[in-house]
Amino acid sequence: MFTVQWESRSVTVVRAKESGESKTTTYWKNKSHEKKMFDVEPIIADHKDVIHDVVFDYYGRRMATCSSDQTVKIWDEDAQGKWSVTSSWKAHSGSIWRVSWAHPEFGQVVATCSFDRTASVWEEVIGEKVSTTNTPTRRWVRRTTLVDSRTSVTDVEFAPKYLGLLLATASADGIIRIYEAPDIMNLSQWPVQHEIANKLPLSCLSWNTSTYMVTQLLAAGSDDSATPTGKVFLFAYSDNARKCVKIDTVNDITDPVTDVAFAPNAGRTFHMLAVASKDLYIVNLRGVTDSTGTTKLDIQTVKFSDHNCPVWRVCWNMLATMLISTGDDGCVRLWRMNYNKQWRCAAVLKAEGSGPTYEPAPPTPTLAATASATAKFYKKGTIGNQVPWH
Amino acid sequence: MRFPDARICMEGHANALALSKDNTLIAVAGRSLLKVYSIDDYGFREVCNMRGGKNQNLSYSSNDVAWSTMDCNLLATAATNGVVSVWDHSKCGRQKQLLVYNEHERTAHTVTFHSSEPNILISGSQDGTIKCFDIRSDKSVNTYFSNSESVRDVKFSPHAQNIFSAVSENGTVQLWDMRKWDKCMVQFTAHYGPVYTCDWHPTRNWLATGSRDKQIKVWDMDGRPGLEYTIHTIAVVGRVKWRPERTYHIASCALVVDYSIHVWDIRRPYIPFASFNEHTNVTTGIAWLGNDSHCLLSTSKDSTLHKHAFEDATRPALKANAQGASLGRYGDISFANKIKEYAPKTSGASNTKTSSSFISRRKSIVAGSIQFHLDHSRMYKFMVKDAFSGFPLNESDSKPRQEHECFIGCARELIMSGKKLAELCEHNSEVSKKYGRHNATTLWNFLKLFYGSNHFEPPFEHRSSFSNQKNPINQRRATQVPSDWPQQRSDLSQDLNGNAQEATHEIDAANEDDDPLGGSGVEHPPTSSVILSETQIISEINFDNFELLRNGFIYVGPTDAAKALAFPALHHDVQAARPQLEIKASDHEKSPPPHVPTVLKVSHVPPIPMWEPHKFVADALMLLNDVGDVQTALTVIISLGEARKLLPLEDTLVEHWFHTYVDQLHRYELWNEACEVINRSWLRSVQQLNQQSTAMHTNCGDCGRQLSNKVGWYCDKCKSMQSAKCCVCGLIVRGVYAWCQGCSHGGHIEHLQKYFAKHSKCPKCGHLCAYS
Repeated sequence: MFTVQWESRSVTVVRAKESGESKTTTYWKNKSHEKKMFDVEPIIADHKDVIHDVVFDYYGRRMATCSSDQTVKIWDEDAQGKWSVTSSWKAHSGSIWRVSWAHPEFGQVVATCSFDRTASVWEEVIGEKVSTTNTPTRRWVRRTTLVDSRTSVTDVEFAPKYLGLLLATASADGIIRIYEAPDIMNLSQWPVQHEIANKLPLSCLSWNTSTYMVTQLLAAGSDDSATPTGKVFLFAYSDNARKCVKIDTVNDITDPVTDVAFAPNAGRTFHMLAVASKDLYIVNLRGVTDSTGTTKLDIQTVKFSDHNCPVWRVCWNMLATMLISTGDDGCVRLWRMNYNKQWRCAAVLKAEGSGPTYEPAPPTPTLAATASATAKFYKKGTIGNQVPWH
Repeated sequence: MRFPDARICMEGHANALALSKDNTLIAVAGRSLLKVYSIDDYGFREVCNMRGGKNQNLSYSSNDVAWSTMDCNLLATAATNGVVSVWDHSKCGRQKQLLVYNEHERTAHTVTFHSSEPNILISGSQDGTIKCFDIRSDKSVNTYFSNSESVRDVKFSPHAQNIFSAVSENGTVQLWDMRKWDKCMVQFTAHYGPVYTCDWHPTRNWLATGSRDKQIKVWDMDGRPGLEYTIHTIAVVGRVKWRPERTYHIASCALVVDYSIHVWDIRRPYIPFASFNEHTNVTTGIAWLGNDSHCLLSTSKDSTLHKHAFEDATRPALKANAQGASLGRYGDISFANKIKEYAPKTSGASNTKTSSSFISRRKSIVAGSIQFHLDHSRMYKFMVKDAFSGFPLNESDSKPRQEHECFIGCARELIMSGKKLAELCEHNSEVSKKYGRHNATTLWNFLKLFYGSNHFEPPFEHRSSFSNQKNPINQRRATQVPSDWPQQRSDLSQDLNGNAQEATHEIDAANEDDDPLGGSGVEHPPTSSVILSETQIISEINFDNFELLRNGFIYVGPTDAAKALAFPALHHDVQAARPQLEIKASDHEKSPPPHVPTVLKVSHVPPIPMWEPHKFVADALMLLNDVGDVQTALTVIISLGEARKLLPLEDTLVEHWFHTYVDQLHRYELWNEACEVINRSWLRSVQQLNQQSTAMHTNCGDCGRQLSNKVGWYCDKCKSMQSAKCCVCGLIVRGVYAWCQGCSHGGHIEHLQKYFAKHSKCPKCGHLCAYS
């Protein structure tokens, strides 16, 4: 059922399939030794419409999903590593685009943003024990609704912990709002701290968790396709202006941007921002202090043209050693940094049956062989056996 | 060319819009506004303004307007003062207002003409009645009492003569037969809030209702009304209108908040199929241009009249991110993917379309090849297995590990203090090796050789002062190292028996490289390639062997050459490194021990090495960080103890590493390890991490006031020691006092344990104490 493509310097791409009843295991071959590479399991999400976001919490122990069906689901992992929904509720009166976990120090708190022009903050409360043997019931309570936006709120994200309990939202009319809960024990008060207007509609934002050389750095991307200008903007707190201001634009990226993600703090001297657009980009940002003592950003954009299809999402692992990107072809690509400090696609994970795919055109001579092999393989994909819902 | 918008009126805003039967005239009604526009390909043109001069009265402030279904000159309005008027726009001046029915006691909300009998019209009002008028008479023909506070909308059914629906503010829908004025045919509750609008489906016997509960509901009116579909909109629904030629499409606009017009596919009730966002205030009237399903007219409180072309509409579902993905702590990936369903006819075509660009793909979606309402997501969990972590392991290592296992394992097993540096290095090198971090292993071994045998005497206040001490240190090193040497050498020679062959082979290979300077690159190619190796596939390199090479190098190399070697090597530039090596090698390749290949120039000790490894180590650490291994880098710095001051590293950077590593340990819930790292820190800002939030304040159990910590549980306000007592047994607690932060009650821990095994509430106040 599932296909794997393994790319490596000296290894040819070999794929093998082995179908089981419920679980499928895929093997890869590297010269002589054969090893299991990954398992894939379908998860029954039971969302009635498209799922727009999947987010693990700080520890990776809980998962939140949100969907156009206006519900948020919270998942917990059992001892066998199986995810199951422990809470599900209708959170908005429109599609829910994104969900974000607050740092666990602030409690079990998530924020959601929606097409209904609001963002909400939810907290899990522990209810009364029904009996002594059962665990007490948990439910999620709406702590506040942020109604400042006049258009769809396209992204929401809690700031890194060192900034306190801060929340940034991006909206389709191009406004970034930063809210702060001054009293972390009272999650119903979220005054707006900063409001930054942009000319272009915004589709996504990301906080930088690393504090080296630059603090309170925020990136936002625009999905505007009408103008040929840069689509990724960087914002930071300015001591002079005493507010958050736009400090830079990544001019190399002019295609509509669907997702941005800063790499987690990993001790690097530079900051990495992954950008999902028509191609995958990694933007390296280095804080440079010039002679006058002001800190500027040195921006270096790396484009990966071998993604072969538009990118929807980018996500880093906790140690910032691996990046995944998801493409419109339904594949998840794994990217790793080698010791040349270059990111390379390490693997393409695909769950078959996810609809017609893009035929990858050979982007570079080195990849031509793989690409044609891949194309052949993709054609085997079927779109049958799917139960439509109404 | 963009169709020009019409600005209708500066004074009053529009409340309603109606399109004449032949689709050429538009009536716009509002507060002190009643105008007729003609519409053609070039835009809107004002035909008639019926707000005649100064005689403005409330009967001009219209809530609704309707065209006669037969006579294209006749129209009717429902006014806020309850007056229903019939107008003939072909007449002049005051005669335009043909008839005035002042019968409703309160605001008239809606008016509509009978679909086949041109003289009959009905109106619904806030007074709860529906009145039927015949324009041949100046009195109402019939009055229908809806038994509700207010009728918000009435519509004739296109499927049955004389049947009309009425919706009211108490959430009910009524079906009336015009001829039976005493009782409605059907009545049912459709919504929890007031129903503001309804519309009959043009072909099916469906009635759509829109309500303040933000929902649009579609009812099958055959027999007993049944709920077919529910659409969740984002705001109070003001008007709904079925789209012609599309069975499942309906347009809606909101009464408040939302200025957009949304077109929904009722089978996908959560997200609009298309949206029109042109208006800058609430949209109050919508109409499809006849049977043209691609053209929508609208008016708004912003006093404009718009003609929307469907291809200009925004598609919220297409803009939405179709996928979600997240990486878990174990490298597992949760991935949700939108599944597109294609219409059977067009799916073949879109499949054969190869290498279509993003744009053309988007267009083909618009062209309708995708079944919008069938979009859904599938979710998968990818569990990445074993050695895929990018740290390939020796074949002999039967237990390949994932990255997080390496991280956790190293976090637990790496030791930072308590032993001599050499031992630390040795241990840590073993640990790193065990977890497949060959680069870290190399670094540890390297450190052991450079720093392990020296006891740097603190303090080195300044780097400048250090430079003065350089000579003594180096001398010490020179004298101490040989004492270590025999033991190491015995190890090495053992190894060499096995590995000499391999080592020479490596060297040969290196020499064969087309080195412009004819290199005897000797030991370094393996060195470089370890640090360099892109994919880190080279697992066959034996590190003991490598260590030996290092030894040889260290005690032989002249300063410049060594430095020059070390840095380019770090930057993975083998070619650049080699020429330097070769100089060095040719200088010092004098008396290699007989049983050792070219590598070991150990016996040749005396030239005191002037090279300082500090910059090299610092750079190595920087590199480790840049490739994402802050763990090793920080452990190295901590292990070095005072010697760390020799490394040219900025404090801010080291502080950054501390915070990073502590954060990473926290993420993997390695609290003890994180604590140890914090304790080992010499930086104030890091040490403070352990001092935050360690004070706990206690409250008086009676008055809830914070207790001053002077006298235990004595409360200044209550002047009592009540809170010192156990709330289960009532005796004063000595020893461990368990205490609920929520209600400030507590007591003997064993009593509370017993108590809470059976109960969940506090014995004193009934608070839900959550003792874990």
